Amino acid sequence: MNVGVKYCGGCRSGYGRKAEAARAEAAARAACEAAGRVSFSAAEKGGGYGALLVVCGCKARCADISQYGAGGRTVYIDHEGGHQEAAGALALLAKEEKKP
Amino acid sequence: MALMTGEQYIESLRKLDTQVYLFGRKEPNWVDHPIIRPSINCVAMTYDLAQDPEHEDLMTATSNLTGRKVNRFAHLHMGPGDLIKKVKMQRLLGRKTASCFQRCVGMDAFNAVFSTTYECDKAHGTNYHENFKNFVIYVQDNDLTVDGAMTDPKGDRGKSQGQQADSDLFVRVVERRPDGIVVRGAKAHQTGSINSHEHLVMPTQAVAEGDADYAVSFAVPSDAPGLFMIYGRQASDTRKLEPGADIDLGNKRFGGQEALVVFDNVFVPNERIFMNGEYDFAGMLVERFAGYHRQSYGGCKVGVGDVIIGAAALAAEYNGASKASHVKDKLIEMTHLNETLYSCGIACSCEGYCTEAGNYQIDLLLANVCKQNVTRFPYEIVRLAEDIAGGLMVTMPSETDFKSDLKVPTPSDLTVGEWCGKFFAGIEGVTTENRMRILRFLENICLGSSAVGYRTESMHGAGSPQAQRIMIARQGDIDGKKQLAKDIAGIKD
Ligand SMILES: Cc1cc2nc3c(=O)[nH]c(=O)nc-3n(C[C@H](O)[C@H](O)[C@H](O)COP(=O)(O)OP(=O)(O)OC[C@H]3O[C@@H](n4cnc5c(N)ncnc54)[C@H](O)[C@@H]3O)c2cc1C
Repeated sequence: MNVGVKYCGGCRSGYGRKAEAARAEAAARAACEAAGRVSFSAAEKGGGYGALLVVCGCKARCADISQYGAGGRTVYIDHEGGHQEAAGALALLAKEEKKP
Repeated sequence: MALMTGEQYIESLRKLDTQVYLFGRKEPNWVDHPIIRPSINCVAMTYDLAQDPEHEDLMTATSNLTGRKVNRFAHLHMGPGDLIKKVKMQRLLGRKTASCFQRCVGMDAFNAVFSTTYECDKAHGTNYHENFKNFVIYVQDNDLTVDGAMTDPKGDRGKSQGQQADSDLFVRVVERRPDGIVVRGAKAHQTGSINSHEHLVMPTQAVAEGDADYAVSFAVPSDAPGLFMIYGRQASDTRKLEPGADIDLGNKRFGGQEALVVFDNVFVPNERIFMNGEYDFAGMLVERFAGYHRQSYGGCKVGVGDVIIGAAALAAEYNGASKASHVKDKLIEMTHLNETLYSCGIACSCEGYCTEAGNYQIDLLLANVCKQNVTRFPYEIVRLAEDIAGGLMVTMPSETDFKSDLKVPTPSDLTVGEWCGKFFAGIEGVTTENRMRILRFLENICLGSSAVGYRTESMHGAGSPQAQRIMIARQGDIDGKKQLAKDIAGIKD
């Protein structure tokens, strides 16, 4: 599954979003070994991703994802430590995508 | 053209033939001048962050005019969402630079001129809106920095434009030609003017019928013939000229910039004219620009405030005072003041409304309340920071002394640097140098060169406090509120 990584603008992020996203990527890769391959790249508009990982600095989750098209398969990180939950959600989506 | 990187922006400045005077001399290589360069680095940050996936959601937008990706500093706000993102972007940049990053005035001017030209054309049958749209597209596509030039020198404040002893004290049209106009005068206190590719000029105040030549708005390149700038000096600016200066600067990399911009008979071609005698629209333009700019301060100063609060907390920590309840309470108060400013910036954005031209204007009452608070709260924030920092932030020896290996001929046989290191140490585990760094940062922002942006700009930028009070009086709806009281109290007139 192709995951587009999209960040909010980070106006007053209370944690290191990049590091948290990297942890989510690593955890998702590990969890997805059984479910199939998962790759990550910086999200681009109209990218047609299997899922979108949206990394937000706070609970406001104000990142504009309207043009990034992942058909509602959107996973958020909005706090430090959020990578675990995000990785689990991405693994589930990868599993679903693999189903015929 | 793609968005520029910070480095490309700096290189683009070198291609301009901007005329800069500093300390009584013409400065040919102003881009690399140690006094000017920190302010250029600051603007460069507005370019670099736009390239960064971690920040592009705030830093860029899709142009309503071309559908292309543009830097938000060149964007027309097309909804409350854009207005909110603008404030968030400004907070982000304040946090990254702890300085004035200068590009806001141009953005605020775009949005005000865009809507005003539309309404002016409707009333007068002029073609300014189309002119202006073309200018905005040019700026967006070339990712330019634009100085929003409003404030005239004004001479005798008790007199109108035409009553001044020297007619040049407000920018005016001195000649009208078939292909354009010739303008004359100056703009004072111009933030980032030297670092701008273009100047977007607006009248400074409402204009009466008899003074119609002062109702003029236009754009010219910063190196237009007849245009030159005289750099505004800042407190402690010559520290930047000291060899190897670092710690004593407080903020070595970033800073703000203001200059006097003189227009000595500058020609403006027709397609760059956005107002030319329509005095009845000067007031609207001023009010709208001021409204946007008063919103801006609810973002930029808040970001700088974040850094000051962090610095004060570090100073307390290095001092061994961070557990004191009054110190904690002062940090809470600083945070409360800072977030109140942010709340105002966000609130006036949320309540933004659509202009006839289609872009969004902030809520004027709330933006004026925002700026009125900005004329006060940063002063209280730095007062509290100075309280927490202790007197050392203004009595500490220079970094040269801290680094000096000159022996002091006394029984201990220590160097000047060793004596400094010994007596200016704070808690164990923190180097004296780090303590010095944070105290110098606070000195710089509280009363050094960065205080220009954090304090006095908070007071006068976008208009002195009284200007907001006049707007608050106009927008405050006292009559409506009297009626509310009458209704509740059962008063029937
Ligand atoms: C750091 C900084 C950056 C700035 N950046 C920009 C910029 O980028 N672009 C730009 O266009 N402008 C800029 N300004 C200018 C700013 O908008 C003006 O400073 C502000 O409008 C006040 O004008 P002034 O400085 O001439 O002060 P004055 O107008 O002289 O005001 C001084 C005092 O006199 C009072 N006063 C003045 N006139 C009257 C009157 N007629 N009746 C009663 N009271 C009066 C004022 O209320 C105030 O209390 C900047 C200013 C600063 C300090």
